Amino acid sequence: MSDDDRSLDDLAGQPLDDADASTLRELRAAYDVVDPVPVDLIERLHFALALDEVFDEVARITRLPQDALAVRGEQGAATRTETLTFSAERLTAMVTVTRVAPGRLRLDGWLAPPEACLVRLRMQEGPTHELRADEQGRFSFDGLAEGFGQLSFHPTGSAQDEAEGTNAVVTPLFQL
Amino acid sequence: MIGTEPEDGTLVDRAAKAFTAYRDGDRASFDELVAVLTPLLWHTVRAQGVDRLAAEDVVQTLWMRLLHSSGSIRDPQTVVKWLITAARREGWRVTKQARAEVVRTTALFGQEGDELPSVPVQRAEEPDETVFRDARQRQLWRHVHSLPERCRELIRVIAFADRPDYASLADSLGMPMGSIGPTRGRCLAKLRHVLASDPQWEGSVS
Repeated sequence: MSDDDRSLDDLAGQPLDDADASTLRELRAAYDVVDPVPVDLIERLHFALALDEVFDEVARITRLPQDALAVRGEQGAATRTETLTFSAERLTAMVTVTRVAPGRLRLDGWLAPPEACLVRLRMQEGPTHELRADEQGRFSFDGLAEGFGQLSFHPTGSAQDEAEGTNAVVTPLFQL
Repeated sequence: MIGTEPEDGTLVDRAAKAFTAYRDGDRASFDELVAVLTPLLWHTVRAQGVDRLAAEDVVQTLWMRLLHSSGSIRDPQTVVKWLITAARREGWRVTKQARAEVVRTTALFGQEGDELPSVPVQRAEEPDETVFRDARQRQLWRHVHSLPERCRELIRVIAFADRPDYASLADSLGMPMGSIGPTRGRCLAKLRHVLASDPQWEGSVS
């Protein structure tokens, strides 16, 4: 065992003291500068968690990396689209958000497997939109404003779904 | 604050208290729990190499899952452990998937003969050196980043909690500090050692 190892073992076995605490305090300040928690994250979390509906599953978001899209995409910023995938055990939804005009967005989605489903889009600032996906599992919300939204999917295909109404899948809040 | 035990209890205590109040029917306590623990979770997820945008998704997903499964957590003292364990598992999954996705997308959209874009290794993410408040902060950052990754993760997470919580957090991170009292442990010892070996570093460490 080298001297270094021995002194490390000694240091490791000693009780925590004020110098450790002070170093950690400084380090916390450094992390707050280098990698701060996004300023409005907690506010958005509070909104996302305040949904009234009972849900069974939270879908995971996958964003197609913008860099990868840019490899072949020549779209200008005016018509920029973003593709998101929401995956849950019960269903998968692919969603594209298109900027149709300044400040006006459209959200097109596609559910797999296709099933009768009520789709709700809850906006952080603005109304909640609701519609039914068609037989192919497609749905489309037009005339949306920019902001953060949260989708929920409520299968209505079976009598059991209707009766229990608790098989909903919700997504995290995402930026439109 | 780190170092001393705050009057209203440590981070883990406050979290347990808020969670208990929520379970007893006080909905507002869940929001308080979110406010109290989100910085800790943010840094736990980011320490897995998840980029900032995806880290927001992960943190949200964790909270929504907790809201859904709160009934399955019997002991409110374990709510922090539940969240940290879930944060690490999810963070790890996201980094792995992000790498696979770049490879897959490149295969779909790339053309023969194209050079594959390098798969982002987010762990190498380096901050802009100008963000630091002063040279001392930059120096501390560099020393912490000279430590092994697991140590960096542990130190980063406990920096956002209170001293009496260190042992339980280390345990939640899968790096138990040992049962003999509140000892420093190897990672903090390493940090102390590198700081003490730096003649430029002025402080009370020796």
